[in-house]
Amino acid sequence: MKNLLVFGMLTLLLPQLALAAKPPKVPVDGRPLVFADEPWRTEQPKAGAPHAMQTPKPQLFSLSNGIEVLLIEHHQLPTVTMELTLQGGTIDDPADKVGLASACMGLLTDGTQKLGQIEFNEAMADIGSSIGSYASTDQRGISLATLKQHLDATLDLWADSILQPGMRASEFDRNQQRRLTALHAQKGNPSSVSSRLLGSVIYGPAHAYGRFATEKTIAAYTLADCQAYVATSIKPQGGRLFVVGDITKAEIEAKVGGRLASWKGAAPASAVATAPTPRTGKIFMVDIPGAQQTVVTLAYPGPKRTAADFHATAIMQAILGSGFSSRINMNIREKHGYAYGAGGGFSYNRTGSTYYAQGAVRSDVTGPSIKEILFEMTEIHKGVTPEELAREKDGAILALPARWSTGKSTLATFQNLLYFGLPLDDYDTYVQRVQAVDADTVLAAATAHVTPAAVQLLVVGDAKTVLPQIEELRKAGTLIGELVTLDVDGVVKAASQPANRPAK
Amino acid sequence: MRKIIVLALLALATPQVVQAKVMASRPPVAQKPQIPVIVHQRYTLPNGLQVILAPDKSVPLVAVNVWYHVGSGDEVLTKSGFAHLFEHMMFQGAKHIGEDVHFNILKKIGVSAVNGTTNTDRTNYFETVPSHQLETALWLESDRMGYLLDLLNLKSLDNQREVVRNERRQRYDNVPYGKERFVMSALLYPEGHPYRYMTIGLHEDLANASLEDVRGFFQKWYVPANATLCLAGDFEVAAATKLIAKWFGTFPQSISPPRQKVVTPVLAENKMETVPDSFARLRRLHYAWHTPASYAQGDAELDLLANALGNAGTGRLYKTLVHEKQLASTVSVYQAGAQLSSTFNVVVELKPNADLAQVQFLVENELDAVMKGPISQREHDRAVTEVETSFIWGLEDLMARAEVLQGYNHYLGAPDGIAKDLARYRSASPGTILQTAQDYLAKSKRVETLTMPAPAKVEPAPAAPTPMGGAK
Repeated sequence: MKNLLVFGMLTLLLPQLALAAKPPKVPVDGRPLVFADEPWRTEQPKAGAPHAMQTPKPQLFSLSNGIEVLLIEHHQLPTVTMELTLQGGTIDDPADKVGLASACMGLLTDGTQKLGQIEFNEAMADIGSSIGSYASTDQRGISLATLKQHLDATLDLWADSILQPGMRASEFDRNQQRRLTALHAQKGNPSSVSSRLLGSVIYGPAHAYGRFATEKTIAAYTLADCQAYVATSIKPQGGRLFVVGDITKAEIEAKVGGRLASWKGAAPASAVATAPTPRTGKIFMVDIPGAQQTVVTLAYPGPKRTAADFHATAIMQAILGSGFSSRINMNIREKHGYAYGAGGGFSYNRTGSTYYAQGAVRSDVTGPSIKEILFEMTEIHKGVTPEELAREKDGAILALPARWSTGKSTLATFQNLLYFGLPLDDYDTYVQRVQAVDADTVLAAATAHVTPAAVQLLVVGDAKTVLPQIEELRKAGTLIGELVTLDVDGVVKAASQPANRPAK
Repeated sequence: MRKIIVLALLALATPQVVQAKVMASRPPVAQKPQIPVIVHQRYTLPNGLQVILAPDKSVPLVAVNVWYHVGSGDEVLTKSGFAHLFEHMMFQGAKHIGEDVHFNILKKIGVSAVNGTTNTDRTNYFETVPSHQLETALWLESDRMGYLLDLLNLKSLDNQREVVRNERRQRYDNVPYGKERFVMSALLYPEGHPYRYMTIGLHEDLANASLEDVRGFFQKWYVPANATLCLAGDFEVAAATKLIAKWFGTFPQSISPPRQKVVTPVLAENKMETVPDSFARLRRLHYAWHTPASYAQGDAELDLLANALGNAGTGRLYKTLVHEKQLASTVSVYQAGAQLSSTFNVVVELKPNADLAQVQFLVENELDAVMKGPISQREHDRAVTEVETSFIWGLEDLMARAEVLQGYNHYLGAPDGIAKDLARYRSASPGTILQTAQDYLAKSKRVETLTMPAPAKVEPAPAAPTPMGGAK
């Protein structure tokens, strides 16, 4: 009742100030409006001081079985999000069974011992909750999202999917068929083909960051494999529980700690990524006949997230390729109109990163687009302008509160710090560290980490239109190295003579 | 405390339900979620610009969001795609801020979300900035509202024309099932209907757009009285009101132009078209019907029916086609709401070896079933819960909140539409859903496409666009 009153009153409060400005009376007769000449508009408004904000402090504690909890209380909305993360991932898949971890983790939330898949789905949908599970390269997770009022019912389903998953043959078969069909479907889509093959081009087809599931590897694993996987690899030791929302430490200890109390043990140690062994060749063409755009990616392995020059690298990559105002986008999109957008940056993983510059460019300007991206990757070695430096430094510092703008973004920020092994108070000194970045350190980062010579180029598009343009770049010496033609599964169709020197 | 100030909880539920909440030990089986209210106020400047203010000081950010009440539904023959192309021009510069510096200026002040979007009904522009930088966002928005045409030039139009055509390639021409969307629209809407070529438009219409078109569109539709400015986040109402008066208050009086009335097409017969698609690897069936406009009677019922039929994991078609028979890889069912009229859609992606006739038969069976008998109370309740739950999750982000207020203001005439909106779903019943299905989803009133994987057609290369620049 009180709430209804609040609701009713607020719409009646009209600010009196609104009536202060009296616009000129202009007859409304279909003629264009005339806007006054007001030169004072030329000056950008001066801002006052930023409004202070305290970096949110997560609560850290452990459940009785050793799971470490990171909690962000956020009581504005009656919602709760949790994710239990476990070490390991697809990096641990046997070589002949790539896709095993993804399939087995997926199966956890395809029904429980008590509920078949549809009953499990219905139980969630009846209360508007969702539960999901995944395996990435080196992390696995089981998550939930629910309204607070349905927390207990959702936790029951979530805990069952961890402790008593259904693992039925029917569910396994459906899961496997679904993966095969999805794999088949993505082979016609240029951007899906590109994402699937990119890692293999940079890290090598056998590398943990480069390999991918095929019809053969999906068919190779069985229900027994997944049952064994669940029995040995779904263990709490090293697990972390990330929680955000309308919930307290005491509630988590009672509700989650209680449900998982009997869960004990450790999974086998996860594998560590080996050194990259890039695919033989420098330029990789995948033919998608009739493609109107070419998905062009220039990529190579980059520095670690924990590198000492991380912030200089971040500012440098922002100037070069991330965001609308970056050099690559302003060149490819705003100057040349070759693409809807283009850009890139360092995509970090646990052991390093991948630098990539990418765009879906019009087929008939694929060559010029590659040339322009390479031009920008070279030009950055001459340094950056004071305006660019100030824009990206100020922007990064002032955008800091946006990291804490929602419960989910706050949680993701802390989750990332832990993933990379960084301290949870990392952002306490963020401003000073970004402020310390200058033209020299940015130039040093460009010199160290933007290396056109290291580029593996993946080109997915209409070969008939694109290959002559690639040949032209090779003749001109803009592109150097072997050209390899791959099919949509990354199998070599043809390779050029490796030697081609710049034409004088 | 903060919760009460910012997002008061509105008890829409009946007294019994409130009592159930007090008795917290009982499992809340049928308990309706309490729906948060976004505290806000609205006023109109004398020139006609509407303003919605939704203060929330929890984080020092403010979402600045402008809706112009014009979309691709206002386009006329040979001008398809123009509302969206025009949206791109709004980022190219205005008299006082300079050319192509919008993103640059915002980046330097710490913008965290910035873009513009166009749909059939409206065009929106938005940026989330640190709250002490609110005035710069108002500076940028007011300059393009008042002084866009001063810097308008052909080079910039030519560039954005190419960018938009690349956007079309990226979203439609170079992906699986993009072609199907155009075929479906052409089956649904006759020549001259503004939805026929979709919001993205035809390449040839985009190629022909002129500076005169940009001027005319701006002068007709982008007047203050056809726009609504919404701020959500960390600001003092009195100070923000003063700033808005400073930047927008001297603009001339205007009236919002009348929007075109378009009669919902009536389909004369059940039509089907086969679409060859070189990007698609799976056959795909798509059925569509004309249905009531967004927020019109029947719109909510069809949302709920779509959930009962197609929700992933629980919907009837999902259970039959994906789960039990395993003939389809995905099923999706949705009411695609729009202001002139909506469409109800059933989309089924077939597994490689599935028998087409069997799939068609099973889809027909499920459609017949919801035309003959009511869905169960459990299916109904589940669908309503889904609507309410997603609504609550959607309030977390400041910009999303601004969008909610803008949406109600645009479609329902007032930003405080939450109760009214949710009441549509809560008052729908299996009986009214059945009636709506019978009224709109007859087989004779639908169109169908069947996408077939096909080799790429060898076509002459499309007309090369004007060369722009070249290698440096």
